[in-house]
Amino acid sequence: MSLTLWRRLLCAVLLLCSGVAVAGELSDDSAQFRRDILDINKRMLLMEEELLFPADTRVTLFLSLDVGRFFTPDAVTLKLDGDTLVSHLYTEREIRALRNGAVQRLHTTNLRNGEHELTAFVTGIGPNGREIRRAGTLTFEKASGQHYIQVRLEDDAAAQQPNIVFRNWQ
Amino acid sequence: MRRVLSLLLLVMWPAVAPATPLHAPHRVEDPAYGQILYDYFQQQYFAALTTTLVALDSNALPTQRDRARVMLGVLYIAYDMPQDAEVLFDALLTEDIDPSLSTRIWIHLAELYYRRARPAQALALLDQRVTQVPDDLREHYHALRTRILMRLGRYDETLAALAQLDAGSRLNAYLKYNLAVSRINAGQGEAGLLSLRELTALPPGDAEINAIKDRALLALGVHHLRQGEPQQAAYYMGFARLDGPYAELSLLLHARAALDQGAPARALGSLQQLVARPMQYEPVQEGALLLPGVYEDLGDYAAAEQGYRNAIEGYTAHYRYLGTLSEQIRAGDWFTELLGEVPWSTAMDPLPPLVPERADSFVSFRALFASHAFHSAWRNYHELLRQRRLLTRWRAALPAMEQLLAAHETRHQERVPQAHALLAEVDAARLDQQLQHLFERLDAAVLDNDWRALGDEQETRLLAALTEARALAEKWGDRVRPNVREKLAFYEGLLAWDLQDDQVPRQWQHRKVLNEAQRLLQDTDALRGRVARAATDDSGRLAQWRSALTDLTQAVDELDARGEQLMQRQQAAIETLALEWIARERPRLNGLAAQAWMALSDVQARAAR
Repeated sequence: MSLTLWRRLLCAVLLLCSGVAVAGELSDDSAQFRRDILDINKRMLLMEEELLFPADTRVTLFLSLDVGRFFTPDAVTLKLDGDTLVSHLYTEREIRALRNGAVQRLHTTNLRNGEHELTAFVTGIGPNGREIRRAGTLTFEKASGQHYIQVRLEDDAAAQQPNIVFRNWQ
Repeated sequence: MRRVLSLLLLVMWPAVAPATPLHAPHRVEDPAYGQILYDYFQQQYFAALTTTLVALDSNALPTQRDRARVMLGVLYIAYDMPQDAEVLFDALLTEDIDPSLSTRIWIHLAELYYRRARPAQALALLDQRVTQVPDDLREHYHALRTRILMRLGRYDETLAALAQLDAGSRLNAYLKYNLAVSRINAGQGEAGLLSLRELTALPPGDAEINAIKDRALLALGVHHLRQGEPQQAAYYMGFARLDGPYAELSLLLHARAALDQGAPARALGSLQQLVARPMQYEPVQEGALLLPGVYEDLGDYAAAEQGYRNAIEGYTAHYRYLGTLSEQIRAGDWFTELLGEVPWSTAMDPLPPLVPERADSFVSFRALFASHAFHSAWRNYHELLRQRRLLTRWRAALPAMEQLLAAHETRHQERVPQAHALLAEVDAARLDQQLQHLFERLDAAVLDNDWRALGDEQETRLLAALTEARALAEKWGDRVRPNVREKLAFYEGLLAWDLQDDQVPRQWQHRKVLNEAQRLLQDTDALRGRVARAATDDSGRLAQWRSALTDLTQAVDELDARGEQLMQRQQAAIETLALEWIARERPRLNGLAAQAWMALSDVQARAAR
């Protein structure tokens, strides 16, 4: 084999190797970038939450769907002490996630210590496509420290209707 | 467009998110864990990852921490961070975790080993460590085991593993196709053909199922042509769709099968249909050279000559177009056109599907766009884009966070003197000493049987008034009338009788009031402690926030600069892929054109004779 051919072959191999190395390097750098982004995203979210909702006054509201055989929620509205706090319209994917046992973090807010009243209004579709509206009220005492409230839409098998059940803890 | 998507879906399918979630419903105890599932079930892996990391960092998972860590590993895999997943799984396995979680980890680890081309190790994990497959991972487990066994060439066991999957599912069809091709390549032709025939008999389904059926037909056609069985090849090609992602190749194979049977007239229709399609497709380029040859065979030299001329014209035009395209790629215009306007805006949204039909060059690059290398690079570019958008969002939020922090600091500075003043006031009141004194007075009154000390406010006032009246009466002596003295004595006796009558309940009532006061004082102490802590701890916390915010601002800037560089490098990598593809394509076109010129001269010579 001539020297020129050898040189060409060598160049081709080197080029191939450098291409693989560059691709590998980019992949490694991208992976490290992902790690750093995830870390900074976490830190920013924690900082944002700390600044917006200091732990002493924070109230976090969750919503979950227990089974959901007799009820498919369309929308939920939460009122706190008579003022609308949050309204949410559900997509199919969100409903599917809730049916699979997921919990939606519906809202986070700041509250003074003392007695408060939370009202949940839920609309949705029940058995035979019947529109169902439900409301439930919880009176709770907000003390110092983080407070959590979970709105659970539970099936009432006997009535074939949903019930709104509240769970609150600190 | 549907054809393109089918092709892309089929080629990229294993890399795309699983059809069913890897973690099915189970009891959620910590809402933070449920929140992770909420993002995960919606395939918002980035959001789920962030939610998990935040939940783990803020101790929001008192009971389901390990489960969330397993989920974090699964999310790392889904988010293309296998190394991080492996490190986490290895760490979890060294801890004392729930055995049901260990089983999940072994399955996910086996998947990671398989991806790293360590199939024997992956199979050993599945067979030795996983004794009972969790229901929600059953499909995932059997699909993984099928792939591993196939990679190891243990085809009979592969078939048994495949039988565990739903027979009509896309996953089953996809794996069966791969198994069939592997068996044919390994010299087990009959077994492979049997699987391919089963696939062709599947009822029409969605785009992915139909594309798998097309590929099975093509594989059968190619196999029979290679085996010198053109009749069989023609039979299967007769079922191929003319609008599927493999329509051009099917038409070409159908024509070849006809030609191999010595029936050029039957090839004519397929080839005419084929050459009417864009010249960018490789089968069309080959067909353009084949069609004039068929005309020659049929004795139609004029049509043959025209066919060769058309082919040369097509090759030349395409060759030139690829040259122009190379220039566009080098100038960055091609990539900009390909990218178009990215249709999503929220940084937490899932990545958009590849929709490259905006670019004129799409037809030329159809095969490239369907390749794993391109798809990975394209996905990574969008991921970088999304990450930089996230950084942009944070950068925009930083001034607001700065203002919030400043407001906290101002409020803190205002409150600290107030808190100190309040604490000083509380200290000055010496409430605990006062209460202690009251307890001592009560104890003394009980000990001395001093009923006078137990009167209420009115009784005490009356008692004082009577004492004063008695003193005056003593002072005035005989000047006081006897009936007044008697009245005074009567009132004194009456009050003493009242006070002594319920002396014990009164003692109890006084002690109850003092005990209540003591409890209130304890509450006050707790409040005092909190005010004191707020005055001191908040200073420390605010200083921490200030320092963290400064760090974060710098980190966001630094990361954004890195992200920009990475995007440029990723764009360059994609452009290199396209240029390399053109560099391979152009010499091939040259070769085809040369063949066409030679054939043209032959036809002309033959016509002249």
